[in-house]
Amino acid sequence: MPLFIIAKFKASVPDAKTVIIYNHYDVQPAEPLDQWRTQPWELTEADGHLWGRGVNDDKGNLIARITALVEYLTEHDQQLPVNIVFVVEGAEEFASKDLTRYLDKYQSQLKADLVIWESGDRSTDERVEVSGGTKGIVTFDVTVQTADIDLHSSLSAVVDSAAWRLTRALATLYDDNNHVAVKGFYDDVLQPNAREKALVAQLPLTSSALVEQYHLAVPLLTQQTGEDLQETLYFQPSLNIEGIQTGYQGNGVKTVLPALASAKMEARLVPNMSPEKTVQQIQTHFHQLGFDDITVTQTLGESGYRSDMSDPEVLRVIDIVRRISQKEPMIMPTSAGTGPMFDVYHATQAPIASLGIGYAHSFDHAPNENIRLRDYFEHIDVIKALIADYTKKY
Amino acid sequence: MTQSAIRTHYLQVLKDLIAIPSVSAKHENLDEAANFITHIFESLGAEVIHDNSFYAPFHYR
Repeated sequence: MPLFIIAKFKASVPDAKTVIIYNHYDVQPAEPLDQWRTQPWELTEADGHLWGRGVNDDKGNLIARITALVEYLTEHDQQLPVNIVFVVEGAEEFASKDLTRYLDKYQSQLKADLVIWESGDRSTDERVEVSGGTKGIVTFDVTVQTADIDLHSSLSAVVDSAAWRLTRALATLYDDNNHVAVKGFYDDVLQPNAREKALVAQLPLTSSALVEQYHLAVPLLTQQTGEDLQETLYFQPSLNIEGIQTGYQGNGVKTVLPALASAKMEARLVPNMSPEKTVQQIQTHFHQLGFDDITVTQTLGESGYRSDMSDPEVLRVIDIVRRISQKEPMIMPTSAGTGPMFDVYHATQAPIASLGIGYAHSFDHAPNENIRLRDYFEHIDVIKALIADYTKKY
Repeated sequence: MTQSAIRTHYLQVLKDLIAIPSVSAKHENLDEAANFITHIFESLGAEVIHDNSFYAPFHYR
């Protein structure tokens, strides 16, 4: 049972504003361990970097912010101009399961003026990214069983296999133009406004850079469709097969006809899309195409959210980042990733700004997760400056 | 404490926290990490709520 933590540091002035700082203490598994250059559970400093699982996602961000608070209090006679409330959960890497129930329980104590989100990176051109949204997600298992047990593969001339049936069904989910072919899938998509489009258009993200960064052996989907890279990545939903399991995968040969096949899948959602409705649409899609025996079971789900990046509290953060980093921050209406922003916004009714200690090669969720010490210390300075900024009257 | 001393101290705190492999996908060491963080907040004088009312079902059928 992961503990949910709220820690309140009260302002020393009346009618102070409230900043909520959201972080999580759970991390991704460290495997594959043989691909780490250092021990994943031993924070290692080398060449101006810190290496270790969770150093960027998200323990390093949490400790940097606590450090900023302690420094501010030490330098200002333990007086705060703003209420600082840490909200720390332990299941963020598990779709923040039950966070909504905790937020509902404590909603009356969580009204705020600004939420500082868990993390953020620097771009490849060394600008601090300040984002205000996340995509949603729904994960689900797709399963088909065609017999009680695996059969001798000599029967494949007359017996359909679960492996073929599953892969045929999955192939229907995308059309020839790389668009999701599920009826209604795009109906609720919140289209970006002009400012949001303009903000992603200035991001230094190119197709060739992505291909090079990830050593891709195939063209990007947007290179095939001719659609805009940034708008597709940040504002469009997608379907992904996380993995397929069926038949024999061991060494050598086993002439078997699989009776059971399953796929772990996910849909990345954008605001207004419902995780539950999306899964139902996919189940209906299979049924309408005659795949009545295929079952779709939702496992996790989160809705997407985008902040108003023109909100004065968000602009306050952007101004401070600009001043401390001495570079124009990269303002992003949403990240392409997922997190429980939707739920936190509804509990706090506050705009959300996401920024942090990472950089373009922090390798979150992967081996060799790392940060640069200079970014870590700069983030401490940013959070201290943010606290100090509330001594001003607006 | 000086700024330098504070930063050095909390880098050690980060090291201690990283050493707790709190992997939610495996439901491992989550309470240990949560208690570690709760102790930090309490030692700084915060008003702290820690709650495990709701069970996150880590295993799905």
